[in-house]
Parts: sequence; C-alpha cells; structure tokens
Amino acid sequence: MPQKKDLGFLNVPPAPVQGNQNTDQSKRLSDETVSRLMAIPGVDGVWVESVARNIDEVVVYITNSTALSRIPAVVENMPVRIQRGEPIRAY
Amino acid sequence: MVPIEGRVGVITSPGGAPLMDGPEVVTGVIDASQHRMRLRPAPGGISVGHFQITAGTLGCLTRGRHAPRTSRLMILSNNHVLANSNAGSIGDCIAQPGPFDGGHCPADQVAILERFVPIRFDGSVNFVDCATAWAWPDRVRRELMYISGGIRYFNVGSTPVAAVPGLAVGKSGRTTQLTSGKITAVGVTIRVNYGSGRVGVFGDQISIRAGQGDFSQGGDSGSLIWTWDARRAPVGLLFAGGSGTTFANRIGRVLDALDVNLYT
Repeated sequence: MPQKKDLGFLNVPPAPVQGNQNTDQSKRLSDETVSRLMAIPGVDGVWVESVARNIDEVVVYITNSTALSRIPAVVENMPVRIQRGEPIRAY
Repeated sequence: MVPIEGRVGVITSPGGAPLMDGPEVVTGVIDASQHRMRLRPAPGGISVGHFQITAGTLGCLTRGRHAPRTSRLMILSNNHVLANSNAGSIGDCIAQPGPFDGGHCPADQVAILERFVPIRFDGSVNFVDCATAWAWPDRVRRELMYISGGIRYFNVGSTPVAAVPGLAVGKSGRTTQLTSGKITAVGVTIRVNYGSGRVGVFGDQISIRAGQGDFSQGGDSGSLIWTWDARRAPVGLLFAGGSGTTFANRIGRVLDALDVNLYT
C-alpha cells in the first residue's frame, strides 16, 4: 500500500494527455522465435526486458526444470535469463 | 471506513461453514476490507462477479461506440470475472460484491452480462480477457476507490496511453487494494491457467512488478491499470499473475475488442 503522503495526486482531476507521450521503442521477438520457445514443455512465458540502457535480455519463464536443457543461451543476439516461477493463473 | 469492533473466534466462510477454530480473542477495531463490501453506487476497484464465480474487480465504466450501445453504461472487467470464462450467457446476473464476498443474485445485482470476447483454449493466441456488463446507472459510479482513513474516491483519465517499460502504474483492486508498480516488459507472451485444466495462450501482454510486495493477487482481476502520475491515464486491464509478476491486456486492444470507450 503506497504511503498516504504520496497520494495527494489522486485528489485533483486527471491532467490531460498531450498526444501519446509514451513512445514504445522496446525490442520484440519474432513470432517464429516466440512459437519455438513456447513449444518447449515447461516454458510458460517469453518476453524481452531491458536490464540497462541499450542492453536487453530475453526472459524465459519456466514452471518445470525439465525445460532447462532445451533453452538456448542466446536468442536473436540477446542473452537468455531463466525465470523460474509458479504457473501463471488467471487472477 | 466502516469499522467493526468484535471478537475473533470461529472463522467462517461466506456461507457460514466454519473454516478454522481458535480461541476467542477480544479485538480492537477491525478494518473490514471495504474493497470486498457491498457499496452503492459501486466504484471501480471493488469486488464484483458473475453469479457463478468467486470474485474479481470492477475495473471502471464504459459506453458503447455505436448505437444502441452508446446509451448503455457498462462495467468493464475480465471475461473470467463477468462471463465465467466463456460459460456465462448474455443477461446473466452480475453481483456486487462477488459471490465469494457474500454477493447474491438478485439481491446484490448491479448489472447484466452484456458482451464478452471468448477466450480460446485451443493453443491459438488470445490478446484480451475482457467483458462488459450493462449496469443500472444508480448502482455504479465513475470514480475508483481507495482506503485512506475511510473510503476515498478519485477519477482516472479517459484517454489511454501506450504501455512502455519503466512506466510507473497503479491500480485499485478487490484484494490488494491500491498498489503501484512499474511496467517491466511489453510484447509478453504467456500461458495462463484458468482452472479445470484449461490453459490459454496470450500474446502482446504487459508485465508489471511492484517495488515492494505484490502489485496484485487473486481477486484483483479486472482492475484498470493507469499511469501513476497526474494524468492517471489508462494503460491496461489486469487479468493474471504468478510469482510476483502481474500481467495485463493492453487497454487499447480491450476497448477495440469490446467496441467501447472509457467513461471515467
């Protein structure tokens, strides 16, 4: 829960959006790469995250360690980071 | 805030069956979880649900883009909250609070299921988990709620902005209430469990993490996600999570799929 002192911005009407100020320049994987990684049993998610300016890595979310041996170390010239977790559930 | 002063002894389910026995302890003031209570008119961020589900979150209000839906005031949430993951029928009762929080139909009805985008469980890629429910105008309100020394209300903007990594965002939801976090990735592909062995693949999603604690938990599904700044501009519709990461549909895709505009 955010601190009460940080919530003052909720007490005034929303400021207008000037055009679309957010320009998405994040990298995306090709559909082919996504399909190939998601086809590995135990892989439940794939995406690209920036770890520093101009440095991206491919995150492969796994729920089963048997997937490990089939995941490449590099994908589309980006290093792969394995994230182990519980199955993703509809909340 | 509606404080309850009482005794904690036998903890019961909403249906009254005992869940856990324990020694009776005289308590001080208990902060009843207002995001799970019955509230009229019902704001965004509060418990809601199809009469056959547990509970999710009322995201916000919308209106249709084309007649005759332009005159309809509609609740926006997930398919799995308002349409019982494809099992619902148009016209079904939507209760506030959701059934797990004690809502019953027709006594607590606020809307009827109006439209939903079917979720495909055949391995093909989904982009949204969303639905609308046609509300009685006097039973809902445009504002979202949060708790700070009582129930407080605020508006979000009606013009969406694009999700980008690093963007600070917030949400008001049934379970974890008001939280903030940051978008960690866009263009996310995930496999999502819907229970009973049903799994849906979702593409072009947004991932979010909180700096501390969880940005969301079960029951927060359907929450509107907006920029944590003066604009409070809508960004996404929360629908899934796992191991501390929250996943959301892009709000632009949601509005296009349902053919609605935000009414905030």
